[in-house]
Amino acid sequence: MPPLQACIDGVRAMADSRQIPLEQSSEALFVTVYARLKAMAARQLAGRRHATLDTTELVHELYLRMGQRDGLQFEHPAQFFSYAARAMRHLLINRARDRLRLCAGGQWQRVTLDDESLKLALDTAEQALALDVALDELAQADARAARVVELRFFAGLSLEQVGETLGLCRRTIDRDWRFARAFIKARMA
Amino acid sequence: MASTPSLRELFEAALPLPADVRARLLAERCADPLRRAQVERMLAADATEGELLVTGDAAHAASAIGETSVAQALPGGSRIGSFELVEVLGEGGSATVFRAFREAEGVRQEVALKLLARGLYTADAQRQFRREREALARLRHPGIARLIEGGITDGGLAYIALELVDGLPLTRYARERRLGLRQRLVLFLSVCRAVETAHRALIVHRDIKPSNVLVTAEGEVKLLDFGIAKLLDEDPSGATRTQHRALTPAYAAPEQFAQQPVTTATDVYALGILLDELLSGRHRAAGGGATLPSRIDARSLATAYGVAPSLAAVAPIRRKLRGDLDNIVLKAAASEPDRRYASAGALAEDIERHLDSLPVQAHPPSRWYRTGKFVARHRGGVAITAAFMVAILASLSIALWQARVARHEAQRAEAIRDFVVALLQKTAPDVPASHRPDIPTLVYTAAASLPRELRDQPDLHAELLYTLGNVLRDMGDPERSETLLREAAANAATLPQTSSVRVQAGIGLVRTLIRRGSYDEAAQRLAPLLAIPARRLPADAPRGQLLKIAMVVEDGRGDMDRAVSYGREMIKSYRDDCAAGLRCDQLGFATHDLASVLLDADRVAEASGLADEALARKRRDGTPMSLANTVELQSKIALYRGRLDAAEADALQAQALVDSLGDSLHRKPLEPRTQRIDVLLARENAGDALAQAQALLVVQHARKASRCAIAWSELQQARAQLLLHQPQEAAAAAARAFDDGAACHTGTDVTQILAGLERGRALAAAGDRAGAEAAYAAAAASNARVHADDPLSWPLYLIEATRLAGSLGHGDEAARTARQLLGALDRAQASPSDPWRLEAELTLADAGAAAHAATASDGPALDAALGRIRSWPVGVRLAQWRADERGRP
Repeated sequence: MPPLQACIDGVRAMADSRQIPLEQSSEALFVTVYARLKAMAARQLAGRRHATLDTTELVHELYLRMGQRDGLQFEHPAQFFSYAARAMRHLLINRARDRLRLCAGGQWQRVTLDDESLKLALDTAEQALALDVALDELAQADARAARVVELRFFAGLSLEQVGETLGLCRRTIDRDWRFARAFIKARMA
Repeated sequence: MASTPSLRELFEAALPLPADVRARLLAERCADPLRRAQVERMLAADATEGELLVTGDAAHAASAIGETSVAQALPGGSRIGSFELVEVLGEGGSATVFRAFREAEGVRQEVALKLLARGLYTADAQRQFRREREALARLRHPGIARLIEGGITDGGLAYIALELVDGLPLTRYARERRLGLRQRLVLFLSVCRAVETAHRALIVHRDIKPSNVLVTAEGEVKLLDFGIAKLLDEDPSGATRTQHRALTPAYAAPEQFAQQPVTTATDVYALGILLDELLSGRHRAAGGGATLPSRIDARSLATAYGVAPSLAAVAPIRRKLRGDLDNIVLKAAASEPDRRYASAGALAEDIERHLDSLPVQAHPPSRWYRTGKFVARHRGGVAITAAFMVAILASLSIALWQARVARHEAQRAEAIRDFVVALLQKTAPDVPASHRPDIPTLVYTAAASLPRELRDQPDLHAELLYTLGNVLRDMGDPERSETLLREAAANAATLPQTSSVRVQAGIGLVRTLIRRGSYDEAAQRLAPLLAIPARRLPADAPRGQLLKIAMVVEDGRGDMDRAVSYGREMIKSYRDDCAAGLRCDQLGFATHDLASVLLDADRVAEASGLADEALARKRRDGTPMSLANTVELQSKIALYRGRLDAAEADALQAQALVDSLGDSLHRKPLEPRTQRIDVLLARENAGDALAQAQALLVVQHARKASRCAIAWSELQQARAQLLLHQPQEAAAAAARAFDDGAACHTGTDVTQILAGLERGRALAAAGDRAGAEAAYAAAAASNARVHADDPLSWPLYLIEATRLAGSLGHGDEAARTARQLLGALDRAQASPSDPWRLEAELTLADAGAAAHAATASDGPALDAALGRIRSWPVGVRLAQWRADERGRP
């Protein structure tokens, strides 16, 4: 599938079938979470392109900051992590889309990155978009499994924490994760 | 199989099984080959190691994709649209700016090309972009960098080409050129004016900051990126809503952080921050402190103004900043949008006021402050030697007085501006015409929702209320006018009894009560105002004015003696004022008004003298309209006194004066035309009278004039038709006049009595004796009322009653009304050749009243009268009668 098309469809599908229905006021909270996350990610990623950035660290730090400094109240940590997961997903997809757009324009020259990094960047971008689509399909087949993926992959929670967040026993989460992982990997292969 | 197992059931059932058993299970339980292949792929995927993405979890993946930099991706020589990029001028979060150029017909055009980081993928987003771009392209102002072109590349990249401005940011320019405070303010005024222009085109900048306000080498201000922030911003309803809004934290207004609607007030805030930085050199942190510009540390100030960083060097700057400029910055950059200046223009005006040493709106009112302003403005006038101490003291007292007025004026100006804005918002073009309220409704609702802070100032609040109440009354909505004025009077009750606002609110209410016909309450409310001694009354409510209102109230109550007495007192009061050099122009109105009341009191001869004075005064300095009023009054007096030539000349002159106003008058008054027809009828020029009455009726119907006014024209029509021997038509017209006359207020229902009388005459002429008798009986019963209610119509009533009684053979009654008529005309010092007088005398003679007959048939008076009116019907009758008389033994 052409990457650009996948991206657009992915964003649309995401907007239409949100895993977590949000109230109007929650929408504002989500916007804040997203803006914060984006700013933090940008700061932390700047200047250390090859350094790795840990999702868990990023999201947890955001959680602490928002609670302490902004006094933002979440009814339940689960709410925050759901927002954070969705925000992280937006962030990743937007980056992937921008990266592919710059290369799809035709008149662009590849001067930003060395060839190897660029290849990795492009591959990752295409994969990220494919993941986004696969995750939407998974949500159709098994909504809870899709949530587990969001919390695990995008919010950086351990499976233990996912279980606590969703109020499910560890065994169920393990099964969900295993099914989800196989579903997505098979879909992306 | 009863039911098809789900994907998950298949996957989990197969998972623990060895490979060959899996194949059998799937073959058994999954008939769909595609589904079976999917499960097999999943089982294979499950066996592999690794994260979902090769690069790891979400953050790792994001990191691998990296942030994409437009600047690095587009080296010099790249093309965007018709432009060739030269170099990067700047790079921000949401856009990258290049210097670029294009060749068109051999001319190289250099532009600043802004490439939006946000892609526009959907048709909606692209449409929105084009719409904004067109609005911006229409924005032309020398202080605003022009939008040259905008477009979207095939790859979905949006770009805009702007006029390339070679200049320095405002703050840096001021610093490097070491501009003085005044020069800085003058530069800043140009910024405000440019912003104001854009606001009028409904374009908000949203991102005003020093780097967007450049000053060229020629010293001209250019604003960059007007409205661009909106282009950069996300569609708030779209899927991409979550991206951050384009704003610069240090200059963004609180509502921008709160994701509330951005309005022109947002730009006013940013202008306030910019002004602060320009004046104090301070860079504010986002949401930064509220330190006044004059309290900024010496180093910042010294750097900003290029002076030595010593306390002594910055002290003069600080002194100039303290007060007005501190307050202007505070007001412009207030956190609540409604506490800021209403517009960039209002901010500019306040700065101009400061530059002119006038009181600024932003200042908390204080007497010393105003006095200080006065002294600064009149430095030449007040800074004199000690020998002129007395003069200084005098100036000071004037200053204090002016200070009070100035504060009041500034507040009022602001309140009224806000009020008008609120009014206009209600007539916004997006409100369908059928739903737009009419102006009185607008005024009323706006008055009812005057801003709360106004209510803390009872004087200002009451003043606005009574002003609006007066407007409503003059616009013909006395009912709601009364509501507002009652509230105004109630609010003003806490003010001193002799304060201008309290007195004016009282006067306004009395006037509306008069309009509503509530004369008794009007008299009651007027009494305390009349009790105030003349010298303690406020300058805008002279005693003469109160006396005039008292006169009108008594006139309305029917107490003519008191009305005339108030009127005489009023004239005296105005004559005293005029002798002291005050309000001489009011004497013209005063004499006119008393003349009207005297007419109402059936004191025609006295009225005539005053009307002459009114006319003489108004000829000197009256407006055409006011002059027309008096000339028409003269015509009425002349008509009453049988001086028909003068009456006709005056009516024509009044008409000409009204016509001279051209189209400036929305609705020209019709009274002069009515008066002219009355004169024509008195002259028995029936043809012209009928034509004009009918023409007037057409106009009145077109204007939806009051039924009472229409009734009078119908009565005139009937009178003319009767003179033309058209009794049927006359009876019909009189019947219409009678019906419409029912709409007249009590006191003016004389029209109806006259219509009944006229109908009786028409019926008599048509041979319907019974109908005529009935009509006559009804009209005759109202004899006394006509005199009391409408003395001006009294002669007409009497002559028509005399004629009808005569034609019905009631000689005695005819003689009685004829005598009444002669009495009235004598009192009015009417002309001996008045045709009605002659006719009355004739009637008496017919009835055998010898005394009158002698004077009537004899003497030069009748000869002279006959000479002039020989061709009139009455003249023909008189000549006939005289011939008969002479033929008698």
